[in-house]
Amino acid sequence: MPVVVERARPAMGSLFQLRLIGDDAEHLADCAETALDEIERVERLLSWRDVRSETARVNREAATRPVLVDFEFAQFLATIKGAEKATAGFFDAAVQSRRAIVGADELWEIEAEHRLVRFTRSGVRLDFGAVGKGYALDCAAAELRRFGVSQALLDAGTSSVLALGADEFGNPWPVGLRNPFTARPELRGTWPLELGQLRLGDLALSCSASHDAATSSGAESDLLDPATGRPVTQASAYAVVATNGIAAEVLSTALCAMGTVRAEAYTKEESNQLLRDVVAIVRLDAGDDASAAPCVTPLLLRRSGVLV
Amino acid sequence: MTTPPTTPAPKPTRRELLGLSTAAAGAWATFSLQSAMGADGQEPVRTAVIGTGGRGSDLIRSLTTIEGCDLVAIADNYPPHLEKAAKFAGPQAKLYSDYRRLLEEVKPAAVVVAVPLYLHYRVAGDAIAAGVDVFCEKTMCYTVDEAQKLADQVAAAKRVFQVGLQRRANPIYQQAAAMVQAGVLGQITAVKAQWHRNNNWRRPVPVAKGAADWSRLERKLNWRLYRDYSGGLMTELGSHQLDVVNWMFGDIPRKVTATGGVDYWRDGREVCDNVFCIYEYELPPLAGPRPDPNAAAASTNGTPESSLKPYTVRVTYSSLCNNAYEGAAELIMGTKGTLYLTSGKGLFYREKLADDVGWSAKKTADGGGADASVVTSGKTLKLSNSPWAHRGEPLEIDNLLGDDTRDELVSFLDHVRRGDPATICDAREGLRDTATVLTANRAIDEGTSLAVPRV
Ligand SMILES: NC(=O)c1ccc[n+]([C@@H]2O[C@H](COP(=O)([O-])OP(=O)(O)OC[C@H]3O[C@@H](n4cnc5c(N)ncnc54)[C@H](O)[C@@H]3O)[C@@H](O)[C@H]2O)c1
Repeated sequence: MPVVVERARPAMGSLFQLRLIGDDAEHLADCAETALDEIERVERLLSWRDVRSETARVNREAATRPVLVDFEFAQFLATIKGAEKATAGFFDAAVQSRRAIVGADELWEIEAEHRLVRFTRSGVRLDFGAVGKGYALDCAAAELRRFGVSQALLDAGTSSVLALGADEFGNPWPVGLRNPFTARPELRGTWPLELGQLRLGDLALSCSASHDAATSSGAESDLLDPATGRPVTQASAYAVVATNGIAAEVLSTALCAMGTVRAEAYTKEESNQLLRDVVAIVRLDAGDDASAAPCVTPLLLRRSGVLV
Repeated sequence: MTTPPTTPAPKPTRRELLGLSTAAAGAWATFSLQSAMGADGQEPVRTAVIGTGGRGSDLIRSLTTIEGCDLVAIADNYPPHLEKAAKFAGPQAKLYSDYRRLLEEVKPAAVVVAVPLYLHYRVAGDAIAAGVDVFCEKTMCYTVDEAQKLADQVAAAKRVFQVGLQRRANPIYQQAAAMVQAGVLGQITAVKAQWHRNNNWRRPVPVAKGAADWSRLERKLNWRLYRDYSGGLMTELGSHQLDVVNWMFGDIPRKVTATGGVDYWRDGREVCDNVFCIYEYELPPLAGPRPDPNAAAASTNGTPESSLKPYTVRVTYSSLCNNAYEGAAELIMGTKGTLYLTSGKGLFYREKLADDVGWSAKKTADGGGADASVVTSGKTLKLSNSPWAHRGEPLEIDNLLGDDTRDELVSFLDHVRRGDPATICDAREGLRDTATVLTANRAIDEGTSLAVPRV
């Protein structure tokens, strides 16, 4: 029987939980700690709240002059810039600044070759809150692989998951999709808690909901519309399965910001670079009244067996 | 590289010392660091890194963000670490497994040394001998004797040398040092510092325990846990915090009593998993408020001579690997206030003093007319049952500048560029730090109190 080791640590405002499968408990425990250290390292790199982070340094300085960043961060920023373009700006790392800055297109630029970041104006603030967990999961998974761990589930606190290999029974990791709208008083108790199940092996998953249990009864969404910098109004939720955490996070966020009509059209874009990393996109439907039950609607499904 | 005539180290400005808590001051300080480098059209400093494990990788990343630095090469004799670090270093950096070949072939102006402790002397010494300026990770050396020789070698070669004790570049600690030296805490009478964690302090080994290579790799990767390579908790953690004390007191301790053992993580490690030390410093009364010579003559408690005699300040230090409640911090205790210091936040608590009654009614200067006291019926003071209520609200000291590791490297490269040996933590300071922590290790081994060598 394989050995299972579990470890957890708070980071990036949530609890990261790791489940590692192998044959040496001591080794797995050391690997889990190393993966958690890596997650902390990524948090320190990305968190704008931490004055020591590269993000904070860029936010402090890039309005006055081009800021030289390290190789990893430059590559990360180039990926993010590519994601902004591939989502027509619906994923926007500077979305926090959009409320005050109206009408400007590009708020920040990265010259990847020279590793220089520049803001096109003052008042810009980069915030990688929507993708940080996905990137942290990617980096942590790479650490685990480096030490020969090939079966693990990395959970970044309910919204983002990365599955390595198979679970302890040799099957793809089963991940349940909660109904994000269950807190709506009129629906509570009527519909099932779980809307579906995903089966993941060497894949990353990210879920975004514009209005979650806490905000669905009238409160504002914490997702912002890049066009206005104001909270998204249309309620929607998506689960995106991709070959890497960043792509999954970017798309689940962007789709919520797009609104349902545009989002559905977007998932059909044939030549979209970002969609190439995607294995499945699933919309979670709230089921507005008593006759339409909440359900999952697959918008894109490249691999059978992922959605059960 | 030739060494220009020595210029005195730039004193931190008042704004830096005060760690001014405004965004403007933060931006200003960062800019002044920046503008000293590169931007003025001077050649960037050709820098290499030796030892590219955990710390080396962090230092590499920081170096690649500094305009005035040209990271020309990196060396590590463990291929997986070298390969991983190569990604952080970028394609312009040459890769070496043998650091001596790096020194010969690349001839860098400066090297950053981040190899395990027992190799610091050899690698840093070779670099100095090759005419290279050195940034050496803490603790400076594995023995006091090596540290002494290295400090002498650096002085004779007139090279720029800095020890990687980054709290010296941290605005919170700089402000704390200024407060201590200005007497804001009154006379410092005690310090309590600790680094408490709850983990096994191990790195994973990439081969299974039974494999032929396991024990070699275990010692290679977990060198911290073995006495041939490491001084354990005192050199890896204590060195940072006792350097803070040495720096603030401007002296090293005279004596140390210490004990420790392997009492929880009995996994084959050789270094203690818990240590407790009491250091004794002898300070001139100047570290506290200067006694007023006129007042002293009239004073009833104590003659001028006794108030000028050095006094003893005891510093307790502990480090644990099995309880994280107290975390990592230094508590500097003075007659007028207490500083609680961590890398990310400082807190200053005023002492409640006997004559600090806080009259609610204001007396006028001439004493006429105003009430001596004012009473309001029915109002009583709300008393808290919090065990910490007596501390009152602290004054918070924030770091608004950035990352102290990057800042210590900016400062080092700036000194290299100017040929200025007066770095923020030079080889002498590194030697004093080494003597401070290694004497505690000896005291643990010998089960006795020991005098700290006057280095
Ligand atoms: N200032 C700090 O906050 C801080 C933090 C961590 C570590 N450190 C210090 O940095 C140093 C390194 O620690 P670490 O945690 O990075 O350890 P590590 O084991 O991760 O890295 C040390 C590296 O040195 C390499 N090495 C060993 N012998 C070598 C040789 N002869 N030539 C070239 N490379 C060689 C090893 O292969 C390894 O990659 C230690 O002195 C440690 O105390 C400082």
